[in-house]
Amino acid sequence: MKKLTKQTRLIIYYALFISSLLIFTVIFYLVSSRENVGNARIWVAATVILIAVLSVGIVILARKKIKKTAGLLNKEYFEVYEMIADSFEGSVLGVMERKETLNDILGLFIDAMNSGKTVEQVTGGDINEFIRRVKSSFGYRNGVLFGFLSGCQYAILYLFLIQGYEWMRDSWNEGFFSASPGYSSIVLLMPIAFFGLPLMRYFIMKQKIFIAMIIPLAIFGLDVAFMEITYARFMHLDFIYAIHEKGLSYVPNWGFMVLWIAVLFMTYMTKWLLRRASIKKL
Amino acid sequence: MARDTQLLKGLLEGCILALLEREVTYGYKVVEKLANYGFREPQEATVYPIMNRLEKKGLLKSEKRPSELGPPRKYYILTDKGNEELKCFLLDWKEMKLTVERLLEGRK
Repeated sequence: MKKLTKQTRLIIYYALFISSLLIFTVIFYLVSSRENVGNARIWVAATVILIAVLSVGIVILARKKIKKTAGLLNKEYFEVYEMIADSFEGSVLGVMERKETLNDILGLFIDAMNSGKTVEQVTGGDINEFIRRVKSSFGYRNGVLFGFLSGCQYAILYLFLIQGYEWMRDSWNEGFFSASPGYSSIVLLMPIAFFGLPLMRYFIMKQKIFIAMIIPLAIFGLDVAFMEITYARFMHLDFIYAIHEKGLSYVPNWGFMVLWIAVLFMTYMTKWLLRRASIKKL
Repeated sequence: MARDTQLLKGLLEGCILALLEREVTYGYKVVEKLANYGFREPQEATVYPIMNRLEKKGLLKSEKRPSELGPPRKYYILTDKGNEELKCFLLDWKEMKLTVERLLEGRK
């Protein structure tokens, strides 16, 4: 078996680190609130731990898959192919488009390698430019607007997730619609949806994997700092008090459920229409 | 001599359509053929995105065929729309070639 590349090692270590952090936090949470631990909380904690462990497994399998798919490439070509594959993960291309394009590039690389060309001759020496050209040939433009629409999609999914979490944790008997997650969850999750994820995609595309990995930790750190400082100094302000002590049901009834789903659907439709308009202008 | 990249891309599009009018083939072969015709270093980095764009515009279509090595190869086929575009390119090219030749003859 070939040695792992630097990029693969970095990604696997990061996945292990994040999962360990998550598992440690959940265990710490359970231990510190052991008097209030009910069955629902234990189930939620077990699910989070399971997801953390599965995530690491999925990361390792995904890296193995890249290695297996591109097994015919030599080291020089494989390293570039891996960078391209990772960069495409951060792009707005659809799953099938990504798969097909990577297959095409793999085919080109295999032919070029067997003809004795160097990888620089194939990519022109500038991998980022090569990736940019391939992506632009798909007609994706309006990167900021796409990022915003993706942010809306993630934000809606997070609202459902935190409402579901709150329901399982504290409002099991009262029903899903009665659960009222704290505003503090919004303070953490909305920056992740609208800034964290688009920035992560951007840095992944630019091959700056390490910076991309730091972003969620930085947002989490800033959130903790914000909550601690405001709790210590600004609780007299009404809106700071509300962030710390109050909450709201984001999906209070079926009407809101339908509304959120409709907004989600509209964001997908807008993305699809933007895509079609861009392809016409190619 | 510095090259005008946009002009080269436009010419490459027309030349790729002309190559595919003669035979159905795959991306790497197109790069090789362009090199054989004298295009200096027609890198895959330039040709593949152009072919992809031509496909998205409906000037080419593709079909997968098995390859001895690696994943199935994508073979490109000129569509009717691509044929029309090629005719326009040929007319434009002839006109441009005559214009440039007239201009250069006048240099003496």
